[in-house]
Amino acid sequence: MDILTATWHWLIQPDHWLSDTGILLRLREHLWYVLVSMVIASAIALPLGVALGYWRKGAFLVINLFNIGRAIPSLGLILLCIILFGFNDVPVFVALIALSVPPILTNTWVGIYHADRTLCDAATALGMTPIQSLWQLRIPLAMPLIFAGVRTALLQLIATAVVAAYAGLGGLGRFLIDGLGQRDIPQVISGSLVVTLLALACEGIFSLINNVLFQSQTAPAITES
Amino acid sequence: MKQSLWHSFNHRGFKLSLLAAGLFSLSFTTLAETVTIGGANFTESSILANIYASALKKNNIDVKTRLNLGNREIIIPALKSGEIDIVPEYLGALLNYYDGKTLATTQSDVSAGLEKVLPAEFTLLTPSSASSVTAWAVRAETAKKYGLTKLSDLTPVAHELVIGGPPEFPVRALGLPGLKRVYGLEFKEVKSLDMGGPLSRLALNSGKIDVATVVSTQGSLAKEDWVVLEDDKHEQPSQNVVPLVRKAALTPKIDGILNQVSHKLDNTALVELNKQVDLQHKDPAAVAEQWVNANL
Amino acid sequence: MWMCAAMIDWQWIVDNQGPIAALLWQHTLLVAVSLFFGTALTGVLIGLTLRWPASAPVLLGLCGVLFTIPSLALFILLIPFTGLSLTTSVIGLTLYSLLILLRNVVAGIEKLPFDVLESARALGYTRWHRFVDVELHLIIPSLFAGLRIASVTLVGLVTVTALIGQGGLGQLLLSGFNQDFLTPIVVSVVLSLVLSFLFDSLIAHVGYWVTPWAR
Repeated sequence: MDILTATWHWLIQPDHWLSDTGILLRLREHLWYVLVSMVIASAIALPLGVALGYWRKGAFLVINLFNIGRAIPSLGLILLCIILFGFNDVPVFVALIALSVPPILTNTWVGIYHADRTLCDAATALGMTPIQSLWQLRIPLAMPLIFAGVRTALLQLIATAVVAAYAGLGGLGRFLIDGLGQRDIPQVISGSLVVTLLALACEGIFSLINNVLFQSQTAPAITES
Repeated sequence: MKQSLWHSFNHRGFKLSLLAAGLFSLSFTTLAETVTIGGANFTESSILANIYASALKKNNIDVKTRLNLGNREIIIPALKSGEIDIVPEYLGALLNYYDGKTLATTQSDVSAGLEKVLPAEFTLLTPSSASSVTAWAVRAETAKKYGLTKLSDLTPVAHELVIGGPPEFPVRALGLPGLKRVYGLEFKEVKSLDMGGPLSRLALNSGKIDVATVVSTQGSLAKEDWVVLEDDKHEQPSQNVVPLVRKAALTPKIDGILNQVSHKLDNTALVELNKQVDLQHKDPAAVAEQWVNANL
Repeated sequence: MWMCAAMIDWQWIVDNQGPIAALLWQHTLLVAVSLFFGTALTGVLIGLTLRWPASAPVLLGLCGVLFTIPSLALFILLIPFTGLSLTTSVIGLTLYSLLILLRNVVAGIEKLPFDVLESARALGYTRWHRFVDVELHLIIPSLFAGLRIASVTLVGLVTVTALIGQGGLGQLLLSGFNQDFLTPIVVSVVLSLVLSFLFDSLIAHVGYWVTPWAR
């Protein structure tokens, strides 16, 4: 029980929040890693997923290739990249992007590829060209699934970005590594608590957006977890 | 050579299979006949642990090594619980672990201090003359720019420099607080990296930090263009290498063998062994065995 | 491609194949043992969920929260209680496999076609019989899907345990990094990938073999 009181005491010190190595700064660094990786990963995965779903070819190969990114231990990838690219933010981004592209890519592809046949036929009957059908029908239909993919990717990113700290960089993982080194368990617990709360907050926000945007969707979407 | 390493790993593999059958009961069993030697997560510790292991094995004692365990905060509890029996330690650092406020620096003072604070279940064997002191290094050009050869030269310029060290550096007495106390050093920024390892090396060479915390005997010092600053005010305590042993596991035979090892080991040997592993990428176990065969 | 091959010290790999193989074996065992215990625990918890359906969302919620805790933190927190033995790693890994498997199996249960269960009741199946003959068969595909995901995740997590002195192939990673030596790092990453692939394939095949009705 006194671990919990010690953690509480660690958390209520303003210095631990506001200083140069405080929670707020680390949170900012963490979000920086997460959001930049998210944007770049989406920029890669969304167009690729749409293209693969539209052309219906090559999906198997490409998706499995990107799934390698999910299977490589992030720690390994970061350390490898540090040796190759030096000691800066690039290794962290490489590892995080490799991790977050697969869920977005897979979900986008599934959403476009498995669009409801009846609706697509109806679109053709209405005189839409394939491209029009893509933009005006299939992409909007796939949105819930794409959204779920982005959500999965975001949560994975938040949890994995802690590994940047092992590579000597910033982010909330700093509290884990420093806490481990300094034998300061309250620091470790506080750090993980912030990560957990961040993840839960994002999950909550996404839930809210999901309900607001997609509540009225009547077309059945294939749920991917 | 490879045989011994393979044997110790195989031991681990066998134990793992047993674990699957009787997980919880097995995890706290210590195999009384086998001596387990632990090592911390840096090269020199691995080499020393392997030297102890080779020396004991040469004298027909059954040993197992558990290397890369982490830092003292993980190792000491493991020694207490019997998961490991022997670990290579450093006099000054060990004293500071138990008594963070000590100001002892000479070998005799440190040894005396340790006698008072070391837990009853542990004992220290004879220290070696080999010693690995924590030191601080700057790039050659930085040394030239500010005219740096010793730590007290840093006092007027420290506020312009960024220093890097292991995670415990800002809080351990032998780290930043000690530098502040003896030399009055206040740095612009402190970065949490490692103890002279790859992160420190990369950071120092790329300019992300200006001063790096290193170990005086580490291999990379031989090839990097750095200047190691002299500890002119002797802020750092003696760091003689010494085996820390669990009394329950100690026998006169082990005592004799390890004292012989400590007697034969010196700074030159330590630096050379570190270089072979860090720069030539040789296996620590192989390098240790070679040294034991040549010297004991 | 050739430049990559040139950067690797092949001789080192040949010289160290013993230790490398041992670490690979340790890594494999850690994953396999944790999956085994994870599956067993999942079975127990699923039994509870089927008996008291209201507990499902609670369990899932709890799993969701636990999953957001960084794995390194979990391992660090276990150390004072279970020491440096493999127990610490296995407990942590089992917990993570439980989280993944539970989520998948519960999703599978929710998808159980109600009409099939109704027919079973109509045919006179007792609750227990219905579980064994009907529900189990329908849940197994979800279980195997979960096992595939869990195995790949665990291979990555075992690497993290290298930071507390274990870690199988993760050890190669750390020692290579400490010595600024590319080869062990590459070996570690490549072997982890191969291991993930093997686990995934093996479980997929076993799953296919075990569910003849789904072909």
